[in-house]
Amino acid sequence: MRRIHFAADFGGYELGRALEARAQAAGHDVVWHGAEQLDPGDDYPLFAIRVGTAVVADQDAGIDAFGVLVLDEAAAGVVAANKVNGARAVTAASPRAAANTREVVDANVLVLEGIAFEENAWLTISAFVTASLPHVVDLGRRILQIEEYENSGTIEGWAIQLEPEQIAVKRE
Amino acid sequence: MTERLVSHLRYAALAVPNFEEEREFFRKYWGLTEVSAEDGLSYLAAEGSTEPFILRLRADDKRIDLVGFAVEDRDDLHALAEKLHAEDVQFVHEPRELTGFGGGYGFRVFDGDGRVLEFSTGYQTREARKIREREPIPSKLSHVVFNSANLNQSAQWYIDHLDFSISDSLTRPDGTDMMHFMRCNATHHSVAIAMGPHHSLHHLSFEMRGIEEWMRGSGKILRSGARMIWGPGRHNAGDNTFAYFLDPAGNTIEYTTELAVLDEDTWSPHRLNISDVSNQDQWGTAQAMSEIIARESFNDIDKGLFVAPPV
Repeated sequence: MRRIHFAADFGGYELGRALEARAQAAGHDVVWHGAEQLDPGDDYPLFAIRVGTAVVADQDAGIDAFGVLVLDEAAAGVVAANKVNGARAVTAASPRAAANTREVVDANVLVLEGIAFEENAWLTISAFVTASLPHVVDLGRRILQIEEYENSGTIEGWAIQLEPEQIAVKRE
Repeated sequence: MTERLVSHLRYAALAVPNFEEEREFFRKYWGLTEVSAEDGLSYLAAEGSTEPFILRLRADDKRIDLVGFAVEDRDDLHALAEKLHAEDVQFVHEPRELTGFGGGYGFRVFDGDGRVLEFSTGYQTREARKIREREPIPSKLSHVVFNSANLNQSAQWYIDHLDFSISDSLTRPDGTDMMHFMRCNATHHSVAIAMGPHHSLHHLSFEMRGIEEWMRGSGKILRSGARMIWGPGRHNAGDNTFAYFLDPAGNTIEYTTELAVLDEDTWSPHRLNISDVSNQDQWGTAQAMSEIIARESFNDIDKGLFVAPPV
């Protein structure tokens, strides 16, 4: 079973609801995190954080989960969602581009523009949730380096008893 | 090829003072399933393994309680017991019905350094399931590594008495042995012994389904607040990927994947110099194995040597 966490702000509400309905019809387990009805001028950060948090919590629990945000400004949603520890949010305007983000960085939140063409947006989501990380260790290693920095402020497995030359990056 | 009476590694049993914290860590984050628990004792299984449990935790001073190995049948078990008796190995108890979770029939001995080993057969197995894609939990216990103050003597005991074979070794630049990877079947290593300042647990390693699951699992452990002390990388000895973490009791634990399976008829062991970075880490990104990184896994001195655990 695949779960998709959806949310949209005012600029993506109509398309977001349409895509939510398509995902439901396609048999996915769908959770809506956006406003219950169009709320002109509402703010995207809360939706982005909600979706990112839900996706990471599910993935850590072994549930095959993804997030989809449909926003007035996709780039802004990417920035916000990526503040969630473990979220890897991207934009993609085509199915091929979406699959590529899954393959190179195991992206787990897809952010779309509210003005996107519905049919293409749906195909893009479908590609996103069905592609997977290839069985290539380099890709996994690079993602883990990001996650290590995200959690401990270091890269390359050094956390304790550091010698000067082993200190990679400081968080401050 | 050597005829071996030990068929495979079953489980590791550890005693830890912060039992509840350790138990919660292994259940909630590490991805094991508690299949039985009583006061101060927890049996944890891996969903991908038919072993009734792969880790047993007990509330007590920190020590390795024992390491369990499987034997094919009772004939082999008695043959092994007789062999070890003839070789003057010190027994904890003779072959008998086992009363712990999963039951079975087996016996326990002290290894050459006083670690307790259990050999068993006929225990109740568990229904394993295929780990799903991207499911961040271990499929089985991969291997157990000990620190030894007397590396070669410790390793030789496993060769002499249990017919383990050395698959590969790590050496220091001056040629002295630093670590032996040892197998009891075609898996590259089920036990490894590393040179350390004292006898202790070096690490426990858990096998993940594949790269994607290894990466997802490691990310989850990082988010739990556990420190990744070495990795991510890929070993030359064993060809497995690695990411090492410290658990709440200060034991080193590893997520690994793709540990090599050997063609034993044609395999010849390598001696790999640790000063050559590529020997430890094929990618060269996880930093070289050094005294300082090794120290993270020296662990506390094992207080359980030549002392049988109460269960």
